[in-house]
Amino acid sequence: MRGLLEIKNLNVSFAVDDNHVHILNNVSMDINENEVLAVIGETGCGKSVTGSAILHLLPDNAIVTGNIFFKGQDITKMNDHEFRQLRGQEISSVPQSPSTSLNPLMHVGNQVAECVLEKNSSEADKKKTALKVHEIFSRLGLPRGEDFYENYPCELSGGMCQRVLIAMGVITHPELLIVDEPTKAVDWALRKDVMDVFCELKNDMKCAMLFITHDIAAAKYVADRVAVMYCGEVVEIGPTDSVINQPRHPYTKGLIASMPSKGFNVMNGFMPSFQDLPKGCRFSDRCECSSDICVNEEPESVEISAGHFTKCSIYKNMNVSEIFSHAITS
Amino acid sequence: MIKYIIKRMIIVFFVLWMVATLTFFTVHVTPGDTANAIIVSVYGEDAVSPETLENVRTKFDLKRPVFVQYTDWLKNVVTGELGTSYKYNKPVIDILKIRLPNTLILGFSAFLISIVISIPFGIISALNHNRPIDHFSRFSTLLLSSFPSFWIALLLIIIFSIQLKVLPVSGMAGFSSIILPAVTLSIGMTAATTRMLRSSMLDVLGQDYITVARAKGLEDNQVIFGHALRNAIPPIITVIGLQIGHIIGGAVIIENIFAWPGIGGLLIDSINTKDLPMIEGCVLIIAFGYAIVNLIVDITYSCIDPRIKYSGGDN
Repeated sequence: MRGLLEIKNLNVSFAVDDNHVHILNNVSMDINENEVLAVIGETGCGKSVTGSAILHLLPDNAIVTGNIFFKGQDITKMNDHEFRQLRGQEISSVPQSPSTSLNPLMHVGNQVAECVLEKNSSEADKKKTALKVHEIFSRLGLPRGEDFYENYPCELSGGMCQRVLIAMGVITHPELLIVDEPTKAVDWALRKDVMDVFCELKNDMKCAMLFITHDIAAAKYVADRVAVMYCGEVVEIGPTDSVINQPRHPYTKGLIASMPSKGFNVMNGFMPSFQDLPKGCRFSDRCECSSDICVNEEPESVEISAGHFTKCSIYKNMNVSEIFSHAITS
Repeated sequence: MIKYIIKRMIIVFFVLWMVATLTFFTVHVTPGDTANAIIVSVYGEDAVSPETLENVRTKFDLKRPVFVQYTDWLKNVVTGELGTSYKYNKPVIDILKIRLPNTLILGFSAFLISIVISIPFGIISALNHNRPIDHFSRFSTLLLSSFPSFWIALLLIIIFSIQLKVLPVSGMAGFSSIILPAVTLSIGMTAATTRMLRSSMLDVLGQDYITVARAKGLEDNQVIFGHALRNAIPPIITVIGLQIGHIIGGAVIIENIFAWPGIGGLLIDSINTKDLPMIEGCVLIIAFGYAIVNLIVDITYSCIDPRIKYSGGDN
């Protein structure tokens, strides 16, 4: 497996009223070809900002430092014109909120076709693209034919809009697809259908994905690896089974314990404000295992098992057997 | 769609009837004797005498009770007969035929000027949100919309007609004479449309589908003209519709200042002479203009925005 995307020490801050609000702090993660990396965490932890940073879609007041390598090329150094050649073609996205992400005054077919069509395309190209759109619609379980192509978003259900957005993301056969909370706006019955669509995409189209979600069950179903974000940092990253079944970071443990299937044990406290962050570990004020070192020192990333890293001071000076026994006892 | 238009036309006739009725009775309750006003306006003060008053009252059937006058007049209107002007002694319809095109020419010129200026300015202003050009556009539109139009008219006359002597002061003689009234009339409309388009564009540019359009890798021009502008247009159509209505009827002051021989000037003149058939003719034309423009706005709306058709816009 070859590395496709590598994010190294990504920092994003926003200039707000002469202050800099630091949102992402040294975020590092990587995605291999044909691999799905799920990013989970509660609302406001910086998942979508990470996605937007990769797509160069952050607002004008954002300050980005660090590196994002896509196929070995640092895309943070590219200007908008250079990046536009990649965006929509090699790196594509499926946005959250299907109801607001489609242009209400444009036929859904045209919105999908637009991703492929050049500005001054010939009639023949347009026809060819329309066929391609019909094909992708039927592949995603949407009705084929002119009628559906010429529907407006207001005539479609939430699930259908979600599929149209997926069609927009995959019609160019991108190598990397950034999917932002795809199950957020669909009801429970449609949720599995949407997740199945992504599994099929991964298997059929060999497309790597950054799967941003706060639905842990969805992440488990679709992803090969999982990254857990808290307050702008990646606190744990590793293979899906390992992270979900043997979580090491107290935050991940709390997240999993709060799932309805695991007893619905809600964590204490709230995520701190980005304008008033604790000095040491950002989770220290909510953590049950917190000690002096957590309050004073920023934790470092420790490799717990093969490819499974966690950013917690508990594991700082432990050797492998100690970590293992800690995992069993806790 | 045809059913919808027919339904709307029926409403338009109701509106016209109500406007005409209200105008009829309003003119009758205003102080002053109609016969006296007619004689003064046509022959001067000296001609007023009991005999002439009697003659005029007989000639125009002014002795009938008001309600009878109203029903007689209404019967005529329904058959397409707007009556004869007291002052001009000609059929109202003939005078309107001469005056209406002048108002339409003036209104259309003002409309064109305002569209040509406001649409690019509104877009540029929104795209440069909070930059100097946006501040300039906001300040200048606020300033221009705050000045009363008669003051701007006088200012323009002083500068271009009296000081620079490049444009005529008033009247309607050739292309140069339309410039000042059209510019004056367009200023308020330009300011309103620019501000409306700016805020509408800003609102649309913040929508998710614009970010999605950018994420597709579209060029800026495609995003702005293909996605943003079309969504920003519906509120502008409402504003433009109201402004056109205002131009048809509300050019009264401008037409008077520039002695432009349109409907507005005619209306003021007719009110002064209590020339009831003429007043009614003008009011009906203005109300009809308003109603038709509103109908066109609603139809345009449903053509642009599919959501209106489907959310019961037909009702």
